This record gives sequence, C-alpha cells and structure tokens, in this order.
Amino acid sequence: MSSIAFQSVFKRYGAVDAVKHLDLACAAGEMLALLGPSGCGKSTTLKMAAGIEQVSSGEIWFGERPVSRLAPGARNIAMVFEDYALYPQMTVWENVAFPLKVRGMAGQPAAARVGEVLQLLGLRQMADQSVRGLSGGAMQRVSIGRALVRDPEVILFDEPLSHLDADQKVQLRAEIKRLQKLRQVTSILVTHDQTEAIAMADRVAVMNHGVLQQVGAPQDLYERPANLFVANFIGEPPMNLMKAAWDGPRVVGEGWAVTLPAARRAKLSDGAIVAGIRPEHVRLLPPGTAGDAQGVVSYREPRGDADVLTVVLDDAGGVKGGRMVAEIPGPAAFRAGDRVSVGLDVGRLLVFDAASQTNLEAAS
Amino acid sequence: MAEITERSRGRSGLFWTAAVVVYALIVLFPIFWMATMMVKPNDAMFARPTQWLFTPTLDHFAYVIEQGFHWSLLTSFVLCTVSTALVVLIGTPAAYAFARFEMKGKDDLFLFILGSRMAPPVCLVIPFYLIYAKVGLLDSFLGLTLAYMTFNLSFYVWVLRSFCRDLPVELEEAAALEGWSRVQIFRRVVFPLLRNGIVATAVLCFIFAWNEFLFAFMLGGSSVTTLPVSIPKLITSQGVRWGEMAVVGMTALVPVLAVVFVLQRHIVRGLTLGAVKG
Repeated sequence: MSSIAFQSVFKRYGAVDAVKHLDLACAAGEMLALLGPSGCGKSTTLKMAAGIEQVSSGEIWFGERPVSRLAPGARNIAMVFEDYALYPQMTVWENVAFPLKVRGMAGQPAAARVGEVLQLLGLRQMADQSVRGLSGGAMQRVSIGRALVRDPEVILFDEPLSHLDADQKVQLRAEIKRLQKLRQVTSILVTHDQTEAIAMADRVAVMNHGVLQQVGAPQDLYERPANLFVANFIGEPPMNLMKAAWDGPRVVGEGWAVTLPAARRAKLSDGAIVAGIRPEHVRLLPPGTAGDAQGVVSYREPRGDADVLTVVLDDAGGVKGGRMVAEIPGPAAFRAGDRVSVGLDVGRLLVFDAASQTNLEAAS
Repeated sequence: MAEITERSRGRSGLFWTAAVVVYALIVLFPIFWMATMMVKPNDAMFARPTQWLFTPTLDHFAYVIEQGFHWSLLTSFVLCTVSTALVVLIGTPAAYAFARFEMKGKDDLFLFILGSRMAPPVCLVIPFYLIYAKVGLLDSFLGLTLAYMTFNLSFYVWVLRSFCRDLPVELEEAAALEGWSRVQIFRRVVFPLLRNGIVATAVLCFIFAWNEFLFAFMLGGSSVTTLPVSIPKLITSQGVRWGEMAVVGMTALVPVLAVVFVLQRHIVRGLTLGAVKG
C-alpha cells in the first residue's frame, strides 16, 4: 500500500482548465472521497491518477514514486467503474480472474485467489454465470472483485454506486467500506453524492470548477466549511445562507438579528458578510415567545422523523424579511400559515466574508 | 373474459400469419418463375396459355457451361471475397481510430470519406477509368479489387465507427490498467465485441460488390468478367436466351441468399446496434 499525492497538478483541455493547481494527499490505507457537482474535475483527477488521462503539468506520487509519466498498466492500480466495465463475453469467474491471467498467473494459486475474492463478495454461487444477466449490484461486486484480486497499491472508484437501486446502494456502500478497511488498500472514491462520500470515506475533498475547495473529515466539512460553496454543498437540506451586516457585536440579517459573544466578535473583521446556519440549528417556538426573529410558516415538508419548514420572516428595521428553512423533529406542531418565533443557535452560526466567500473563522 | 381475449388474439395472430404468407408468396413468385425457366424448354418458355407442366431440360445449363460462364462466377466470387477481406482488414482499425482517437480535422476527414460514397457511381467511374488507363489497371483483377475496396471502404468505416462508439470505453480503460497495449486491447477486448458488427457490415459490402455492374462493366469486361457483366452476353443475335439468363441469374442469387442465411444471427444482432453492451 502506498500513499497518493497530487502536487500542483493541472489538466487543460485546449483553453479550458479542468483541474487547477491541485495539491492533495491521500494517506496509505485511507479512503479519500472526491466530491463535487458534475464537471468539477473530480473524475478527471481520478483518471489522471489512473493514467487514462495525462497530466498537463505537475506530478502525481504513489509513495516515493512519481507516476505521471507511467502507462496505466505500470502503476499497479485497479479501478471500479460506474458502468461496471465487465467483459460481457466472460463469466463471473473469468472476469475476476482476468487481471491474474493477464499477468501470467495461472493454475492453483490463481484459482485460490479468485475463489477467495468471490467468497469475500458472496459471489461464489454465481462463479460460472455469464455477467450479462446479473443485477447492477452483482455486476458491481464482480467489478470490485476484479479490482481486489491482485492486491493493487491503489483502488480508484469512479461513481461506483450511481446506477444502483437505493437498497443495493446502501448494502454495497457498507461492503466497499468493509473490504477497504479489511485490505487496508489506499482508495480514492469519486462521487457527486455527499451521503455516499460521508458514509464511505475517511476524508472528503470537495471540488468545484476544477479547484479544490476543502479537504477534511466529514465532520469538519459539516461544522467548519471553508467557504460558501462547501457550506451550501454539504448538508441536506442545505444551509441557510443569508446576507447580513455587523452592528457592533450584533449580526443583523433580513428580519433577524443575533448577538455574538464579545470574545468571538473580536476575532472577526468588519465588512459585508454572509451568515450561515443549518436548518437543524434553527428552532421554531410558539408565537409571542422571545426569539431572534418572527415570521410565518409558508411551507411544510414532512419527512417522517423530521419536518422541514420554510419560514418567511417579518420585516424588521425597514428591511424586508428574508426566508429561513428549519428542520425540527416531526411531526411538527406548526402548519403553513402559522405564526412562529424563530430561535437561532448562535454557537452554530457561521460567518462568511461576502466578497471572498471564505469562512472568517476557518483555520486556514 | 381471459379466454375470449386469448381466443381473439389467436384469431388475429392467424390472420397476420396468413397475410405475411400471402405477401411472401407474391414477393417470391418471380424467383419461383425464374427457377422454372431454368429447366423450361424454349418452346414452352412463353407459350400462351402458360404451360405449368413441361418436360424439364438441362440444355440451358449445358450452354452456360459451354460458354464458360462458370469462370465469371469464380471471378465474381474471388473478387468480392478478396475486396471485402481487404475492406475488413483496413477498415476495422480505421473505424476504431475514428471512434476513439483525437486528431486534427477528424470530422472533416470523416465527412469526406462518406462524400465519396454519396456521389453517383457514374461520376466516379470516369476518373477511375482515366486513372486506370494511365497506370495500366484496366481490365485487371487487381484494378477491380481496388475499385471495389475503395467504394466499400467508406461505407464500412462509416457503419463500423458507430459500432465502435457504442462500445463502453471503460472496458478498454480497464484493460489498459491491467497493462495491455493498444494493440492487445484492440485484438482481445474490442475485436471480440465488434465481431457481430464486422460480420454484418462485411456481408453488406460483399453483397454490394457482388451485385455491382457499372464498375465491372467499365473497368473490366473482357479478361475480367464478373457475373452481372456476363449476363448481357445472353442477348445474342439469335435472340435473348431467357433460359440461360435464368440459370445465371439464379446462380448470382444463391450465394447471397446462402451467406445471409448462414450469418443471419450475426447480421440481426449486428444491425440492432447496442447489442454489444453487456
């Protein structure tokens, strides 16, 4: 197992920079997720690690070894594809055995390895079936088996769960994580689904427009997003991001205001800001109760254990009231049209610089 | 209720089967007629009213062989096989390259290739004739082979490119990760998946070449005579030899039918694009 490091990596397609100045490391045995919307450069990054795409400039290191000039086959990596990429003319067994066959490994040792991997993935009974008729989940398991069979230094997962049904997704998610930990194989996972990234990866790297936005443990991204993009991208329902201004120690928004503790306020610079608070940190109280804002529930979306309510805030201080989304334990007592008092968890309020869009308290 | 729908479905099924059979009979009748002409004596050929019963004769066959028409059959067969083989050999990598590789002016080049097929053959045969006359390829086996290869190659590359495009590129990437070279990947991953497409397209090329008349007539004619070109020789000063024409016509038809029949499975699978996906 080796670590992976991207060092000032660029990828250009003509005039377009698909990946810009990427510095990113993945420790040996770690699973790192590359997360971002489509077209953010995450797949390109993965393909550069695989050698399917060439690096325009910069270097990629596997441990102490620079690999950017090596052919894909010389890198000792395996890849799991979105569309499985199984050889349709082969059986399950043959597909898994393929990497060994290519390397001239045959006979008893090869058969033992293939058998072990099939066992591990619960594919033993299907060994002699053609891969054509398998379900998506089974096909992807075969594909994972093919990746595991020769103990590669690195496994690259390219949206491995995108085409699967919800229940297969959850099942395979756990399985991939278990196998990855069991084999301690360094892995990079590309996904556009934050649930997947958070569930499977040790650390998550968020990308947008070819630029790495933030990398950290899922909890870090959730609690301390580095900028507005990450704040908005991570979390469901998304964070409330609201224009606001300083009034001494007070943060004043459109129809709401909170006061920060003096010690915290002292560390923050002045200027136009955007305040962020997650829906789960917004409390709704009966009308008339003291709160940070007053408003009317405009829409309620029941989600079973929790309800998501959109509140239109009252105008305050001559400023038109904005909207705020709250997630509260369900079933909520409030309905559309009800007046409510809104309480904000000040400790959870994030403050971003409106111009640079960065978190003013980020530990950069 | 279920019984009724079942029965009515059975009835409409019967109706459609009958309709298809009738249609097939209408379409096949000329071929049947040609088959009877092969063994019909000349005096019964156009007798009014039609003579359905006659003593079969092998005279027409004898004349056809005596006149050396079997050499034309052989010429046609070898010519079409060789030119189609060349098309497959050159066209398959070309189609793959057009589908996969980035190159300057690829789209223009591709359209240009198709353009050569869009022109009416008559427009092409004149330059061919002039060039061949200069380089001494007129009335030669090589000359006709090259001509057939040229006009089939564009079609073949055009069709096979879409087959190549339908192959998931990830299969090739997966193989590349295992350390295979481009050539190995092409031979051992791409080629097996393309096989149905190659067979289907090659059969079409073969049939085009087999039925071709204009090029064979203009560029060949005396020492290299294909079967279609040989048929007009049966319009003689003593009249049209219909029986012999039927024999040669049938001979021209049978190999095409045989090829299509034997390779039917490949052709149907190949022509339903996307069948290669797992």
